[in-house]
Amino acid sequence: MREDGSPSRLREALATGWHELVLYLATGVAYVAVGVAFPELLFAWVVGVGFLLLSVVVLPMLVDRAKAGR
Amino acid sequence: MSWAAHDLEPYVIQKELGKRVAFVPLLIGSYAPDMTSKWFVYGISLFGIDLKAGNPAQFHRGWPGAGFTHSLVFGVLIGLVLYAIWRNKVVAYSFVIGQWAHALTDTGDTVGTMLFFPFTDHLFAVGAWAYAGQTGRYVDAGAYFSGLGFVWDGVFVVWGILSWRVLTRGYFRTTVMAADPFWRWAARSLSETTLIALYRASFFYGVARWTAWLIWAHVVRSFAFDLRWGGPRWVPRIYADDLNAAQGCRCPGCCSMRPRLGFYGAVAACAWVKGLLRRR
Repeated sequence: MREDGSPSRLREALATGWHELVLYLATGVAYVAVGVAFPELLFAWVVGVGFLLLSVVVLPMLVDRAKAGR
Repeated sequence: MSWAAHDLEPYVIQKELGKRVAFVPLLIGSYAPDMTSKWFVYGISLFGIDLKAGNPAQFHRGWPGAGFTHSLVFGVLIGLVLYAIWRNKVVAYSFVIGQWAHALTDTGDTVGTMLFFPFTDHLFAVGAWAYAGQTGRYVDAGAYFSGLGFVWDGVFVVWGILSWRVLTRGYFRTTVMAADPFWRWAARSLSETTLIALYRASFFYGVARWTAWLIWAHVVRSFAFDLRWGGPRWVPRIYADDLNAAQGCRCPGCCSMRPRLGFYGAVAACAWVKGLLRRR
């Protein structure tokens, strides 16, 4: 770990955060696909941020709750 | 104008300055020049009424118009207002750094920015890619992503990815939260996962949007690449010389504007920011 709090090596960062990275990459691919199909959505920063929050915060939370409820 | 650089520059600056900058004012500063003007450049329709600037380029970058938002002095003035409100120097100069990054980046197109307004209304333009905001946002997007503009944004996409450390959780906890009061305030009501997603949002938006526009312009549509200086040349371009009616004005106010004064003002402002950084 470096003084600024970040991992000292990329390999170290990937070992602890690969799950999160995959989630963000999948969200990015989905956003690009939707954006290419409906470019109007690409103009709004709010839509981009909303898409990200929905994909990496809200959906995983709902999945976790559904799993816990089973 | 730039389409992704303004989203990504704050992360690169964050990497270079660490705890010496506050991320949220830095990001707001980076967006600030276009916040109040861009919608009117492209035009919007509200309740059946179309609102659009008669001369979009003049309104966006010129004077008379909202071009003063792209001047270095505008950043300093808003920074002083922020300092007066929050009494926090880091918040104030972080905004200034973000706004200056935007103003300097936008000198890359054929119109440029009035960097030293109000000392001079001269538009400083590198002229690397065409300014085509007046053609509407879709043609503008096609033109931007066919000329050197998308290459310039690509530099920030790569630089941003190479700055991956600033996107990690550890960096956010140790460096970003420590320097920026916004995150400490937001942490009272939001989870860390939400805070980090918000912190990474503009990076995500910049990289994803850059990719999406490139695909849209060259796969969905067939805009032709033209990487010549000032291109693409198939789009009607506006040049700095086409703007600012005040160029020929001989009134005392306009005559008192001198590029040299602007230069001295910029040097003084740089010295002031450097002094603030050293004291921290």
